[in-house]
Parts: sequence; C-alpha cells; structure tokens
Amino acid sequence: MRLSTLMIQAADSAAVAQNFDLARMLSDPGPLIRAALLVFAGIPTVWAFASWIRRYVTKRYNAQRGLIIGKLVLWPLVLIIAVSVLKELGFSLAPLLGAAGILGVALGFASQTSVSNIISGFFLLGEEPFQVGDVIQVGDVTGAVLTIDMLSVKIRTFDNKMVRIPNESLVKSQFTNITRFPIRRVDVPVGVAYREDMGRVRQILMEVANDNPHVLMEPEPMVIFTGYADSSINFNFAVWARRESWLAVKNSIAEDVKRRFDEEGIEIPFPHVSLYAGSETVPLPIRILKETDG
Amino acid sequence: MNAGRKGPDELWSERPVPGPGETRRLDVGPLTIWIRGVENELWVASNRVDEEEEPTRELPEDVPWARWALNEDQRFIRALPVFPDRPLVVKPEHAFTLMRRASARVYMRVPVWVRLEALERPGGSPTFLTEIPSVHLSDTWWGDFRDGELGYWLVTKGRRAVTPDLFEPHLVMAALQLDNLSSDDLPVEKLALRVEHLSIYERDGWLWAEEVRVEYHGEAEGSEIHMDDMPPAEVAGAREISPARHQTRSFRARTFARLRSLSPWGG
Repeated sequence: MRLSTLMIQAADSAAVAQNFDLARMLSDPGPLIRAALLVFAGIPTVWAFASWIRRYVTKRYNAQRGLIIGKLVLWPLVLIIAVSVLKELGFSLAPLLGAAGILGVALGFASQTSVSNIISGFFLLGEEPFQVGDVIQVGDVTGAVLTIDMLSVKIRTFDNKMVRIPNESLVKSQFTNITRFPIRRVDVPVGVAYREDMGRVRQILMEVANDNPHVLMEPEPMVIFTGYADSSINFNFAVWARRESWLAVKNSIAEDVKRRFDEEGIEIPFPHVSLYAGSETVPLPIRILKETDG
Repeated sequence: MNAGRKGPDELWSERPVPGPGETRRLDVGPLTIWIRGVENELWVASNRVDEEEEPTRELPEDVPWARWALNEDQRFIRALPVFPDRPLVVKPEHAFTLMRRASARVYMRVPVWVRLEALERPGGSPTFLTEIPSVHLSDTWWGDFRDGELGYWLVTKGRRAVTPDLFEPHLVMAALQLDNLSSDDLPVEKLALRVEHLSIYERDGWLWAEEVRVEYHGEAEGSEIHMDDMPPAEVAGAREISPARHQTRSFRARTFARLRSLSPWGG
C-alpha cells in the first residue's frame, strides 16, 4: 500500500516536472510529427535492421547466436526511440527515470523469477549447451528441443508431449545433451555360462558387430570382461553407431547376439526359481489299503 | 596400360524400356538387377550375394520391387556406374610406410553403385531413378569423437601393379599417386579416398577412376588432393562415362590416419 502511494507520488512529481503542453503542441505540431515519425518509421526500421542482423548472424554462425544478437540490437534501439519520443513530447526524463526506478523495484520484487529466467535464457543462448533439434535429458524427461525462448525451453518428448522447462532450472541443474556428438556408443551387457570358452564368445561377438550394417567399423567394437557373477561370466559388448542409428543398433545388436548364441549353442544363463510354500508343499501322505474279501 | 581383355559389352549403355510383361536382367558382379515393364510402369528389383558366393541370377520370389510410373516419352533407361556417395576409408591389407620425400603409385579396386536413369531418347537428358550398391560396404567414422564424417569401410590390397585378372564389371580401378612431401615418414595404415569427387572412365569395357594425386605435407598441414579431370596415364584416352558427384579440382583434407586412432572405449 505504501509502495503504490510512493509510485503515485513519484508519477505526480514527474507530471509536474514535465514540459508537456497539449495546447502548445497543437499550435506547433513539429515535435508531435517528429515523435510520430520516430514511432512509425523508426520502429519498423530498427526492427528490420535487427532482423537483418539476426539473419546474417544465423547464416554466419547459427540460429541461437542470431537470436541473441538480434535481441541485443533490437531492444536498446527501441529504448533509444522511446526515450527520443518522450523527449520530443516534452517529457523530462529525470523524474521519469526516478519513477521508473521505483517501479523497477516494485516490478523486481514481483517478477523475480521471470527476470531470473530471462537472464538464464541469455546464458543458455550464449553458452549453447544445446540447440534446437538436439535431444536432451533433464531429470526423468527426455525429448527434442523445440524452442529456446526467453523464459523457458520447450521440449517434445518421444511420446509426443510438450514439456516446458524454465531456463533457470536448466542453468542451475545438470542435464545431458544426448545428440551433441555425431557418434554414440551402444553398450550391451552379455552374460554366458561358466562352461563357455571366453575367447570363442569374444570372437563371436566381434563377428556379430561386423555383420551388423549399422555398426561402425571404427571406432572398432569392443568386448570387455566385467566380472564373474553368481551364475554367469559377464561382458560389456560395446559398439559404435551414428547418433541417428543408435536406437536401431541397440535393438538389432541384442537380437543378433541372441540369434548367434543360439546358433552356436552358447548358453545365456538365467536364474531359475523354485517355488516353496512351506508346509503347504509337503507331499500328501498316501496309504495303500489292501482290499480284503467279504 | 591396357587391361588385356575386354570387359562386358553394353553393360553401361542405354536400352529401351522393357515392354509390358517383359523382364530384363543386368549382371554387375555380385549384383543382379531385374527391370520389368508393367503397363506404363517400370519395376526394378535387385539381389546381391556375398562376394565369395556364386551369384544365382534367379529372381527370388519374395524380392521387393521399386516402381516408377513413367511418362510416355520416357522410352529408354540407362545404367551408369557411379562411386559411392561418401568417402571410402581404405585399409590396405598390409600397411606400408611411405618414406619422407618418397612417392608411390597404389591401385585400389572400388565397388561401384549402379545408377538407373530414364531418358526420352538416347543421349537425352536423364531423369534419376535409383542407385543400387553392387557390394554392401560397412559404415565407418573418419574423424574424432566430436567432429568427423561418415564413410564406407573398404579393405583392399593396395597393389603396386595392375594385372588383367584384377578387373571385374563391378569394380573401378583407382590409381592413387601418393607423394610424401613432408620431412616425416608416413605410415599408410588407413586413408580416406574421396570418391565423390572422382569421375569414372571406361576403356575396353573396364572401369577406371579419374587420376588422383595426394600430396602429404605433414601431420599439421594435412594433405592436398588433386583431381586431374582426366583418366590415369595407364588408360590415356579412355572415355568418361560417369561424372563425379561433386566437381572439384583440388582441396585440402585429412587423408591419412593410424589404425585404431579412436579408442573403442571413447576415451
């Protein structure tokens, strides 16, 4: 309540201090015409200039840099035009700036989160940890980046939902850009029975990799021993694929391994479960009675 | 140099579109292509066997057909040999070292893709239909983990001489002139052959790639690759039958790399 009173007082004092005189303005319309020109010619010119800068930077570098440079050019120029228009209309800027300062404090309190998101948005655009089209993972959400806006990043999940993530969250927290680099490794954990020859298993896995059309020959596939487990000898079978083929490789290589192991008679052990239900599973006692005559 | 024997006649030529119900066969090494006319449509199917196997040339029952509805002026089709659409990462079976200030001429056989085009008349302007690889080549990566390019993997002997028995209908002989202009010895374990920039020439029915010179200037400077826009000296006067996908005379690019230069673990 006290803050709004203060704002009104400040606005009053600005109005008192100004040289704005409507009657004088109508008798000498020069400043009015200049102000109108600034608005109707200046704003479109500035907008066109900023657009040209944005396009140029986009072409030269990328869309994100174009966006940020375009905004950095547009808004200061718009501000300069706004100040010039006010000056033409006879407003004195000093009290206006004072009022704006108070208003800024009020707005700052009210829009702390929004301002934080805007500033974070600039950080994201400048740092470029991802671009539009990249697939990112934030917490338990994975999807393709649709837009990087001033307040938030919007991503499309693979089940076709739109998720809005505030820029501030992205700046503060850890996220993963899954498609930043052109090639990715696919890890397939493989376990074989203890009776199998480890060298033969390794050789078969390498053949499986070489036969899969999506697997890259270089970086070459790799079979890493990961441990003697309770019922299996475990390996990590690692192959490389283009990021576009990653899913195809992840699916097909698992099928290839299973098929080839079946063909070669290599056992993939799995835990066997015996059900026991306590006294309920005790065999029923059977007593054979001898049939007697009469 | 002459290949010494004639290659298959009229494999790479224009021919009329098959009439309705008519099927024609095109044998290109391990690849067989069937071209069938159905009403005003052109149907194309292909089958490829491993290079070790003998091609059966019989039309499989479940072969998938690709179809084009031609306009009535498109009365001819043409088969053209073209290079694969990406660089080949070539691994010589036996790596060798090119000593400083030394040169070597190496011959490599590259499997072609078969491009089919429709034409209104022989020699007319072609309409692209499809491209079919004669041999399946595995994908590989040329570059580092952050940046690079996709290529096809090819293992070749990297011969130092050409003999007539090396020629096959689906293989292009590429003569590569390597000049080590640096002050370091150059281990040739793996090299990128940028076939998209090469034209194909034909003489006596056999295919040759455009002359390529690779000048190695050192690890930091990389290599300069020159295409001479002419057939190699071995078949001077051969006719160009297939232009390069990308017309370039020379450029600088990374050409040589060590085997296993990329750790499989990614580190």
